Amino acid sequence: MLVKRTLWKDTFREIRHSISRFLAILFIILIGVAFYVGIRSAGPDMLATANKYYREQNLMDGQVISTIGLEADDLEAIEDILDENGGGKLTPQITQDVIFEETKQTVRLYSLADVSSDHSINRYHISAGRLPQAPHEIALDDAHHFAAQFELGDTITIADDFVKATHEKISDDKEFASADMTQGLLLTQHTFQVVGFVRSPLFIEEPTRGNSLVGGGKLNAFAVILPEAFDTKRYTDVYFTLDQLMHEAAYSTSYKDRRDDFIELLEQKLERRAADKQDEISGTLEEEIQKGEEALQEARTELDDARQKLIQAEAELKDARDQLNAGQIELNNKRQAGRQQLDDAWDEWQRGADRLEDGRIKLQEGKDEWNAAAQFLEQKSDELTQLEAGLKAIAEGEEALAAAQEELAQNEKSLNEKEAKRPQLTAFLKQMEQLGVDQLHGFTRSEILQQLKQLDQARQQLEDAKQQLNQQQAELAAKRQALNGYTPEQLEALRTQLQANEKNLAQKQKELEAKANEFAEQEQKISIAKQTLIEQSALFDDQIAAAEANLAAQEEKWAAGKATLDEQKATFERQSIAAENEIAENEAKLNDAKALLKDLPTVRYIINDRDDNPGYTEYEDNAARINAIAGVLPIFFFFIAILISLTTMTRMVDEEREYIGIMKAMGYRRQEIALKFIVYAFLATTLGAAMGLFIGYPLFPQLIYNSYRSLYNLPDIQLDTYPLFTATALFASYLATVFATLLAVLHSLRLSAAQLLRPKAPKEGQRILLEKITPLWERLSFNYKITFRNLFRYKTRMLMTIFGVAGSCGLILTGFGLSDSVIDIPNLQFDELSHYQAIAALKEADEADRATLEHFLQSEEAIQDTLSITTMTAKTEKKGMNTQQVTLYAVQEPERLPAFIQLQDSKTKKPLPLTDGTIYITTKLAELLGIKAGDTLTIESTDRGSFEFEISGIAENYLGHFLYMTAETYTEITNQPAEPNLKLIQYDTKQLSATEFGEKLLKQPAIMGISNLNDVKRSFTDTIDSLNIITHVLVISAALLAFTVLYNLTNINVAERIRELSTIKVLGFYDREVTAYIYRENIFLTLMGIVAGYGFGYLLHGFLIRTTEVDMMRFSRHISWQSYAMSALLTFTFATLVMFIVHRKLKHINMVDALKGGD
Amino acid sequence: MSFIEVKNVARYFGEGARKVVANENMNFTIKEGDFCVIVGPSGAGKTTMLNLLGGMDRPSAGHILIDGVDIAEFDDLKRTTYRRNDIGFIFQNYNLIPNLTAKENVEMAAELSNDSLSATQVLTAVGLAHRLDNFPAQLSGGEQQRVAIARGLVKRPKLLLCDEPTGALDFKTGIRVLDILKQANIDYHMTVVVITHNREIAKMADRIIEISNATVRNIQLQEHPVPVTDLSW
Repeated sequence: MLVKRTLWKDTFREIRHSISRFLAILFIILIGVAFYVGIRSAGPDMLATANKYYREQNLMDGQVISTIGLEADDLEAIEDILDENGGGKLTPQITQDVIFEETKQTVRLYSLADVSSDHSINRYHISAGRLPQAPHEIALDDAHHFAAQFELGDTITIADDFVKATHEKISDDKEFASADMTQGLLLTQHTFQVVGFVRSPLFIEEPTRGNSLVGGGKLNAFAVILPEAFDTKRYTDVYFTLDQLMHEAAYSTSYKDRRDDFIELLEQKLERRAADKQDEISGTLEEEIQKGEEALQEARTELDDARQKLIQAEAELKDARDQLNAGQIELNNKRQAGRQQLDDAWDEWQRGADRLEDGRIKLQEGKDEWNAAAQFLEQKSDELTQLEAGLKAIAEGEEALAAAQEELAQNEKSLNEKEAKRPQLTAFLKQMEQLGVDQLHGFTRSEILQQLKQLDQARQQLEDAKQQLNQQQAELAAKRQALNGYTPEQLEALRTQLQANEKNLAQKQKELEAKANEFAEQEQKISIAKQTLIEQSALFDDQIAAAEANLAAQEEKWAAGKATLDEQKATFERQSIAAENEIAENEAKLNDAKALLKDLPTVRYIINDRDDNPGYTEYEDNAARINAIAGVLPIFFFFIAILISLTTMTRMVDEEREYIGIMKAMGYRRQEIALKFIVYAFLATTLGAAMGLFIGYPLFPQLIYNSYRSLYNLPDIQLDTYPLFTATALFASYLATVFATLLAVLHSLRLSAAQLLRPKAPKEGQRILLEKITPLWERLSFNYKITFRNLFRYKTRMLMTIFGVAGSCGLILTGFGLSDSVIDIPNLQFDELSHYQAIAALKEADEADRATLEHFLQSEEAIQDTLSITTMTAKTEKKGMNTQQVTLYAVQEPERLPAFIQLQDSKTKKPLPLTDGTIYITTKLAELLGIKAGDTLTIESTDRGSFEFEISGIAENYLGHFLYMTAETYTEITNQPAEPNLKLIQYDTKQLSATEFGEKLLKQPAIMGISNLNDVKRSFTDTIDSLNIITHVLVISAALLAFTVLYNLTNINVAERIRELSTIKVLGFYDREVTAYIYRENIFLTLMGIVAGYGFGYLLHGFLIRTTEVDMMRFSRHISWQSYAMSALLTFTFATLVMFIVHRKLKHINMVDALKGGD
Repeated sequence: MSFIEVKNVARYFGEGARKVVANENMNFTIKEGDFCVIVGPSGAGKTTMLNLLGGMDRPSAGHILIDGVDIAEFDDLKRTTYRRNDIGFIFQNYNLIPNLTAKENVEMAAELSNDSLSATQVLTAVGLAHRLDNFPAQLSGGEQQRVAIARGLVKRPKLLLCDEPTGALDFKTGIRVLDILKQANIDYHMTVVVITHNREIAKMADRIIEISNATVRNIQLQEHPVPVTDLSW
């Protein structure tokens, strides 16, 4: 607005002139805003820091552990479940707790998952060095106390028990190692080399690493090695992240809800899977057992069969023997009979053969006769034939001769023709000789010679032929002569005769032939008969021989058979012994397998999530605590700050009364007049708020976070501004100053200019109530009379001062009180109420193991006393309250309980005796449920149902919820036997360290786990210590506030009564008297403020305690007298401090100026 | 030697270009038992002078001797003691403690000294015996001023300084007040210095000091001051 330049001038000059007021408002708004936004954003910042860290390191959303380890099919199944629910990632892992030889510390070894993947879960932050790359390398937890013992390059030796090579225990069937996989894995390496130090997002709390079943029971640290260093094929657990949770902030409700939903689903599915697997494993084993039994049965049966067979064979052999013997006899009989038969047959044949001989002779005679005749005839025939032939031959020869002679003649003819050429040829030859050539007229010498030769030859031949023919002719003639002139007719007659004779002969021959045939037949018959007989004989011989041979063979066979049988028997004897042994062995194995089946580990999938990480929920709790405080405290601060600025601005308006009057008189409009004040207030507030935001947002969260720094290994805090808080702070600030100013100005502006110009009528004096108490009033010194009168004169300011002081004092008291409430608890709980050092959980009853345990407990020197307890965990619910976990202790020997646990009434501290029928509940639980003696408590146990207990009294307790009763009572109400499953143990910690104790006790098979009370105490103390910072912040801020309030109000006080003060100064009051004039009032106000502050602080403290308490804890409601004293002291100190400052101011009052007026 | 001796007193405010000369070259004396009126126009430096005389302020230069003692040299403490014991001051706007009754107001001053008069007595002397237990708010302007005078007198100071005592009062009341002052002057042989711009009042003075422009213009002695009742303005 370009409105009136002078207006602006005046405004800014006013700021300069009353700079202390301006700064006062600025400062108080600064504090209010800084505190408000700072504390309020601390909690969210803490959670944001953690969230960022978890995201960067890809902290797992859940972990699945299997009691029998995980294989590919398990991982697949889990992956499927993840996929069905929006997808997710898995990292399987091998985990094993071991002990470091050198330092005897229990360290959890993790196998390194695939580091290259961007999505590796639970990514390590490398503080120094690197991650292992070879099986003998190891990276260690960078926890401060742990890592300080080692350096890069150091060699770590693992205790023998955990290394395969040196492990004494002969591991059973690897398939089903001991019930808990985490106890059974071995390493392939004995020593490791340290190559790096890392931090894991699984462990955000610096000191704690959780529990272990190895060593003393407490886990000291973790370390990372390659999976190859483990001697196993299975994974022990798998971590997973869920895609749908990726964008949810850690610790947020939506994260928890989604996560819980998923885990419920996963649990259900895995439960089914576990049951299936259990069946599978036991099924497989049962199958194997069954197969084994069947096989065994078979083997036995086989053996019996074999034996049976042998017996049978023997019997058969015996039969065969008998048979053979019988056969032999039969053969002999047969032989004899057969022989006889054959002999008879031969005799008969012989007779036949003789008859045949006779016949033969006769036949022969006949034949001879015939032959002679035939011969004669033949001779004659021949002769005849000869003659005939000869005749024919001659005829033919003569024919031939004729032909030949013809031929010859022809030849001669031709030759003669040829001869004609001879002279020519010869002539040629001569020519040639003459010419001396070999060729002439187409003929060669040789050709010609040859032709001549040929001619000669032919001639010769011819001549020969002629001769031959002549000869032949001669021969023929001779032959003719020889024939004696037989004529062909003669010959023919002869032939005919011959032929007739021949016919006769032929007939005779036929007869003979017939006879001969007959004879031949007979002969043949005989021959055949003979043959037959021979054959038969041979056959018979053969048969006999064969039979004999057969028998012999059978004998042989039998002998062989006997030999074999003997062999077999011998073999059988040997083998049966071996077989029996084997059977016995297998039976034993089978029994082992059966026993294994009984001891088969329960297949269980245990699902953990982030809440199970040590420190995870505690961190949230811490943030929640701060949030709770942030929700309350800063408001008070702010409130007071607002009040002060309101007062200051109102005062300002009062002081500027004249100004307003003048402006009004001049004719300035209302808004123009108000502008100065609005701007003043606005500037002061804006600057103050801006600085407050600037300081508050980083400072307080840092302060608070740093107090937790030593406890947690999280990165630097993630500072953030929160528009909501900023807006609220600004809104409140402006409301307090600007709005209030506006109201005050407008109020003044209602008066007329004239009224404003006149000095404000000073407040009327009046008698106060106190004056009525005459005896008292008269005794008061003058100064005090004035003081009291003054006090009650400015009522508003009086109340405001009291209010301010009360607020500040109350806040201080709350701060100290907080400290009081918590500081004693660890001692109260662990020294006064609990008198034992350790709790040991027992496995389900095994007589032998229990006996061993008892013996150990008795014999171990350091152990002073133990108490058996039956414990049960249950839950109790009530509308509007979180489900609470209750631990029930049923004591067998209630008379011995007081030595271990002191049960005393939480209010009266009187001891509560535990007898049958008395049931005690602990304080916090009673509070949460609103239960008192006589009421009934209902608890629900997951596997045993729900029970009701009538409460007899409330026992003092600060950590956890407990229900105490005798074993009798327990049995009565639950209908279950009170089986002791817990032992409280007292031992001398000087004789035996906690670690040693743990080690010894864990060796006992009856022990499932132990918990050291000192550890619990320490972690409890840590939580409490973290509250200290809040106390400090609170006290300091409250102190600042106290100071500011007093200073401001006193200033206003002085300003308003400047005239009065100047007057008494003029009167001659010394400076100190002038100060005392004010101070007396202040002291009273402070006193009253302190008293009110006590009340306020007490209430606030109570409220804060209830808010910062976790359900499980109960802080003392008690505030020590020292705290009250300290609060008062501090407040007084500030009041005095203020007075010192005011004193200086008063000293410099310019009486002259102050008294001017109306001149 | 005069009871009050002001020698070359100067009082400056501020420096350089902003220097305000409230008093300069102030020189005068006042005799014991004098009824002195310092008169001058507004802004002349009268009040400044009164403040210097009353030990409420320190001169920039010069000496102020009161009964032989140079109060110009006094430090804060001495000046306070001086005021406590030797001075009575009366303001134009009374400046009573509003939270105390008339009697208590006077008692407050009385308690500062060991040989004070009785508050009641003094109040009665100024005619307010019937108003002892009233608060200033219940008193009229004149009554309040009389209480202030009583307060001023009760300590039996050496010097009674009055800054425009009648400035806020009407004529009649004013006369009454002046009358009391004159009585006190006579009865207690008290040196009274009255500042006013009202020349009429100056007529009653034994000594009139005229101040204008930060310095003394004129000092006039009156053998026969006009009686109070004869004044009128």
